[in-house]
Amino acid sequence: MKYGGYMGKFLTVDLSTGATGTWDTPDEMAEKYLGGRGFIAKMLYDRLAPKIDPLGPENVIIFATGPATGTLVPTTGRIAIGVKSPLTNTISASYLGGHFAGQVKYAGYDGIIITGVSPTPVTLVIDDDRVGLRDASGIWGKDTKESQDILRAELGEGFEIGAIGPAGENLVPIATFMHVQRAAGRGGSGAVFGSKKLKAVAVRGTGGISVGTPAEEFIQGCKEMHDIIMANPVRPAFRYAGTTGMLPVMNEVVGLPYMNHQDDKAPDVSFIHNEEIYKYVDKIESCAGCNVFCGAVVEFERGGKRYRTERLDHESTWALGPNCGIVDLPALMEANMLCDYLGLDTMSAGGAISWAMEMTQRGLLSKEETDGLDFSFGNADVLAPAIRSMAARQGFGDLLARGSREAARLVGRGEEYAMQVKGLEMSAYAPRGFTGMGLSFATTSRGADHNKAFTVAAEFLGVLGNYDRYALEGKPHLVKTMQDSTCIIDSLIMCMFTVDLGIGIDLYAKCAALPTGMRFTEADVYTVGERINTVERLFNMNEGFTRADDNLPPRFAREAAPSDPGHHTLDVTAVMDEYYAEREYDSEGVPTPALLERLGI
Amino acid sequence: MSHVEFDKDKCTDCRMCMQICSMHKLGRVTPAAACIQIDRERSKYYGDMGCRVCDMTHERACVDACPVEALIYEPDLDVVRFDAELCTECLACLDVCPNVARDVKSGRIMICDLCDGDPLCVKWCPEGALSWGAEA
Repeated sequence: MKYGGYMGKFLTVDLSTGATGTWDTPDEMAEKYLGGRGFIAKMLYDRLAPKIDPLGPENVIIFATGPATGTLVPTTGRIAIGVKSPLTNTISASYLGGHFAGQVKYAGYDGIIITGVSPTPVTLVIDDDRVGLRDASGIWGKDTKESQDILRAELGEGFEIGAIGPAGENLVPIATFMHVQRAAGRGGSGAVFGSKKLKAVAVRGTGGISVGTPAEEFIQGCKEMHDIIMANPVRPAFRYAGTTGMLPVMNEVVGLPYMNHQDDKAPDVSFIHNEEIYKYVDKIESCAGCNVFCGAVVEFERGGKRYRTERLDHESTWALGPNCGIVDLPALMEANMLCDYLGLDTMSAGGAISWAMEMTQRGLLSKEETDGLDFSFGNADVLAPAIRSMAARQGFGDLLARGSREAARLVGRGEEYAMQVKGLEMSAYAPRGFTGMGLSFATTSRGADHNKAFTVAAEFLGVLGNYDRYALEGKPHLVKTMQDSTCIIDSLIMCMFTVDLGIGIDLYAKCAALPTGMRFTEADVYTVGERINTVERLFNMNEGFTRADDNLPPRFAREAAPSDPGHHTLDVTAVMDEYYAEREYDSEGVPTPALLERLGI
Repeated sequence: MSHVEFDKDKCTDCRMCMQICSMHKLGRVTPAAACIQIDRERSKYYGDMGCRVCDMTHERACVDACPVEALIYEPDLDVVRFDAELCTECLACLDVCPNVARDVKSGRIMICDLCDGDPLCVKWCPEGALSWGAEA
């Protein structure tokens, strides 16, 4: 590897045979795909035959870091986990923070390629270049917290650990892989671990990362980035109350989905104001190399029990809270904790529960069908039993565990109330109130995902542009460029929050250039991002996705949010031709030969 | 006499101190080899923060343990210095003091020298969990 920041090789593990080895990271892959999400796009596209069973032996788990991971570039404690998603059948990369990512590089690897199926439950233990599979039958069945606690005690100092919970073991398509309480949450990678009998991964590295820029210049460049974030006026809000600060703001401007997206404003969000959330904080926590500090340990009581766990974040609070009409903060903290420990995606779990609630509200689902559980909007007491039954795949929980769309299909009704795209449940931004988010949900490769083009930055916060939030005019271009630039954040890998904290496109280019020593310009940000999005698109096309899949649930085109005085609706198909033209896709959404040639795909 | 002081209640476990220390001293980001080690109580979930760094009390166990003169006390700056040329890699210093680290790749013994009077770990700590100053 001729560039700095990379370790030059991936660890390969064949779970079927127990064989381990390495695969050299190609220079060309670094140049064209940068790292993280880009590596995953390229490697899964190259390695997976179309239409394989995501939970069969052919699926591959790829852990990928980026060239900035674990270096002094701020917020680079994140790692990407790529699989073909058992929830959506799309390509899927999800990301987790904490301290796991850096250790993979310090151990000497850009990532890990995991193939095959183990005959018995195992933990992959990576101790620098000593790699082995360890019997995990003793922790199989245990939750993510207990599994990690046991491994931490057994393996000794310095190991960073991630594990699946019962949900992943039970092949729940919305299962996560957890490191402490950081989740590779979306798209169900945890089920792929479960299908491979891979319970946990532990990694410790004593080596270092060499960079492609002279040391003093590198340190100075990184310090400038840190200083920009530290000086940003938004940072203290993250530091104080985590990521939930935006929820009341979104609600105030009629941009926060309520009761399964029936409205875009909740009557009461006072219970999740910053000062309410902060009341429970015991200690501020951060990922490696981060100075934003959105994490914290909280202590709370519910049902006579006292818990010490991770603070709620924006999306989990919304998905289980306002989205379900629930206003009980300790109930949300408990539900969030249960999802983390059992290994369920809080967002898809919330989306599946809110679907059941709307079905109940409309008289389309009876209590007999829900095993007697009361899925009325606002019923906080249903969260814990619903989540437990989903992880265990018991009764009605076995339906919900498959996500809202599949649950509707199995029940045989109510698919229009499954608020998802391509099977992935939607996030805490109202498409009717931020049309760019709607177009992004409809077109992003892994389904409805707020983090792949956070257009609210340009539609509301005045960062990276200034657009009318309701109009569709200009949105195809905005969504396309943000989808492309976000690929760089996901490939370096940095934290998405840096977008809100003063890191612009020029600085992301610098964050790529500093560790690698590549000449990396703003134009390269967009070109590499375009390449990554296009390869992800090709992967999905091979899976049979078509133009018809780039759409939102029908509600948004039919109904305005009752709280919206402007009565806005949203039909993103009105601008799909324009979006495809921006992307140089043909009218069916297929990348044109000219585009593939220009991008060297 | 002064040393880097640690406030466990302020530390968020970002470990940036370990990154900058190793980058500055080795030219590679190598947290395991940093002169300062953020060391969390691992028997508990989200356990108490801890930190290992030379406390500069200069009982000089490391110096005394060194069979050659690879570790030498330098009175002018009041720190212990390491000379790689003389080190035989006997690792005796590591045995006698938990605040001594070693870079596996180069074999270099790592011990805090206060960055010649301007400790970078203190400068980079985003929460002010690290500080230093002359004691009375």
